[in-house]
Amino acid sequence: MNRKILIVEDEFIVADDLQLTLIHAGYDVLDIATSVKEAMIMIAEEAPGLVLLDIQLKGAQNGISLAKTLREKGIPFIYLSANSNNKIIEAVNETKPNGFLVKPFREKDLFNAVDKVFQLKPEQ
Amino acid sequence: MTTINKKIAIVVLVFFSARVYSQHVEKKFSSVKDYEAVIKHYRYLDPDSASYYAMLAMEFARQKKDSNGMASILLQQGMIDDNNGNFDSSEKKYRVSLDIFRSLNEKKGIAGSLIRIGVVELRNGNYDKAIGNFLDALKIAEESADKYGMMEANYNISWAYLDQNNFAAALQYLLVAEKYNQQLPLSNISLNIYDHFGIIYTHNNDFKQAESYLQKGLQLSEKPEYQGLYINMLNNLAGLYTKEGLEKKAISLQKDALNRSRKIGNYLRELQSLLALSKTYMKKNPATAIFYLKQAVSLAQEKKVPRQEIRYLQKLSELYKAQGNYREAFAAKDRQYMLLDSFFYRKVTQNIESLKAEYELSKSNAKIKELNYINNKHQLELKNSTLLRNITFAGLLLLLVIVGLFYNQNKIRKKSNLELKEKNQSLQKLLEEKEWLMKEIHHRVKNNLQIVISLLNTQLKYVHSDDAIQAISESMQRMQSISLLHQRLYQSDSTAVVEMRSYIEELVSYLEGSSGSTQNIIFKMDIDEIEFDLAQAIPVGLILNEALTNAIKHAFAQNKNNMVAVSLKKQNGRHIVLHINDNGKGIPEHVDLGTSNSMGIRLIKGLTRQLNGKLKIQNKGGLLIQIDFSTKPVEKYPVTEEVYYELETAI
Repeated sequence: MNRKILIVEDEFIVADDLQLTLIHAGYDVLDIATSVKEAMIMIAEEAPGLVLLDIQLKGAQNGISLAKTLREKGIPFIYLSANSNNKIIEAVNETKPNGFLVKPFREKDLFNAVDKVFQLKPEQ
Repeated sequence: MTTINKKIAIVVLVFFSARVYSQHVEKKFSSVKDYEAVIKHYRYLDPDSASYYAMLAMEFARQKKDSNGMASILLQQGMIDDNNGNFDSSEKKYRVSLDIFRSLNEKKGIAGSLIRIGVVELRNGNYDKAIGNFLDALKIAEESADKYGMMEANYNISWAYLDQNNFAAALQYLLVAEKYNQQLPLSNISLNIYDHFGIIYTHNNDFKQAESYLQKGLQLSEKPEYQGLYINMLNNLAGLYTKEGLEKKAISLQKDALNRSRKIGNYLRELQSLLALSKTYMKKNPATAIFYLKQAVSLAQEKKVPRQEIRYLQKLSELYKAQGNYREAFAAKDRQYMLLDSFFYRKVTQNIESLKAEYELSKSNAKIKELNYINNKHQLELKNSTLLRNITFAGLLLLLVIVGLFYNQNKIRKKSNLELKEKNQSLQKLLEEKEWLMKEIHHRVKNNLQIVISLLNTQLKYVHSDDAIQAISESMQRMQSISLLHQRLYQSDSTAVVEMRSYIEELVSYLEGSSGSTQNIIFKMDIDEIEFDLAQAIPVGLILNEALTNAIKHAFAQNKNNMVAVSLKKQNGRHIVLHINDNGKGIPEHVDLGTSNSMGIRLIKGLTRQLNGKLKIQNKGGLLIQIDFSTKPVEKYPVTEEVYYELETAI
């Protein structure tokens, strides 16, 4: 089973922290994409097993538009968002994500969400 | 023919002739002068038509308010009366016209009127007055170098002398008149001059001169408008022939004159001709003379001219007497005396009549005054109604203006309302924009804090000493509690205040989850619905963070029955009480909070001070941290105490 995680997050510090956290926890991180365009290229090169997707991204397209492609390709994804207003949640629900984490989230919540996608039992 | 029929006939004739005449003169009637010409044309020819046109002319002048024209027509009317033998009425008209001309200072008119008045005086035998008037007219004519006027005046003076049988004086003035006449076009005066020359020269037995003038006059007066003069001259020429002994010639002329005067209906000339005929026949054929004289008498009787009738009766009776017909002579005399009596009687009655007429006149004047008064009153009423109408109009106008103003004001008000609405809308928009902006700011602040937290988290991966890990972890948690506040602010409806209950619940939940503690701790929350602004929410949040972290880390030794109670209660007024109470170990006795250098305690003390609050730390079943403060950060609570903290060791 492909357990490689692609992080789509335009804020490097946040993305880097996320990557380190995941790696320390024993997860396999494929790469960090800072835009939808970059993410598409990376996905084309190597399909990830999961995408951690920030909704607010630099560039013309946001995370929701990428989510549609991911859904078509059957790649699971979890939203990471600082925003949780109704409008965004509505748009997000339409894309049927595998998870939704509101920043700031606890490491525990992140791991739970990822494990759920990979159908792993929580370690604890 | 009855008088009525005759009158009808005259009226018809007048209208007919007026019509016929009007067909070719109507369009010329654009001024009084045009009328005057027509009146002159008819004056001898057809006095009724002349009267008719004079009436029209008078109306015309009155309408045009032409005083000068009215006076001129009055003169013409006077002359018509004059020809009909109505000397009294003609004189009145002349005098009125004189007054009008005088008021207008119309020299020619004044002179003309004076002449006419003089003629009336002359006819009445008042020669001095007549000559006086003529001389006045002459003076005026001379002043204005009016040749016609001078001619007319001189001729009339001559006439006055002639009437008094002063032939020498008459001739003298007539020669002067003739001198002017030669410089002027033909007029009736010219003809009169020739006529009088005829009379004077006949008297002086200068038959040749007399005949030449009379023939000349006759030649020039063979026109309808000069018929009267023509007849005069015919009779005068006949008189000349009689004097020369040419009776046959004289009679033929006199018969012609009689026919002509009958034709133009001029009874004065008819009488004159009849008398002349009887005079011519008197010596050789008294019967014929009587025949004509009788006609004259009956004509005079018919025309009611008693003075003439008396004269003719006198002559008639003399003729009868000469014939030896005393009966007829007596009858004539009888009638003469009767007439004389009735004439004088009539004079008296006439005087009474005139008095009566004057009375009527004054009465009608009074009536006119009354009418004028009524008229004035009507005019005044008319003025009043006009004024009323004007006022009504002005009122209407004012009303319109007011309505207009109201409309305008309403428009302005509507406009200003619209502007106000627009302004409100733009204000609303501005407010929304401000809200959006504030949310955006809180969002950014939160994101930045998130970056700080991520950095610290990353840092955490690179340190290995426990102290460092603890320091970084604690810092991360502090950042997190502030970050949560900003998140609250941009997620809630209001960017100004934080709803404390949900915030504290979230904070507790976060701290619980991220502590990594394996202890079973039950958090009991009792939070009133309180909203704080950011300035108060941050210190409260940080205090809670320190207190709870401390409780989670240090309070509990065992793994069961651990409990932390958090309460934020609103007391009376703005008094707020924050409690964090655990059932743990409490503070060890050796720890002196007053001098404690622990960062948590330091922060709690400092932030309480920032809140202007009162800190109380007690060992009460566990550790109890109580902070009293006011919702208003500027207000100190309690104001009386400068105590920020105290430690009581309970039990």
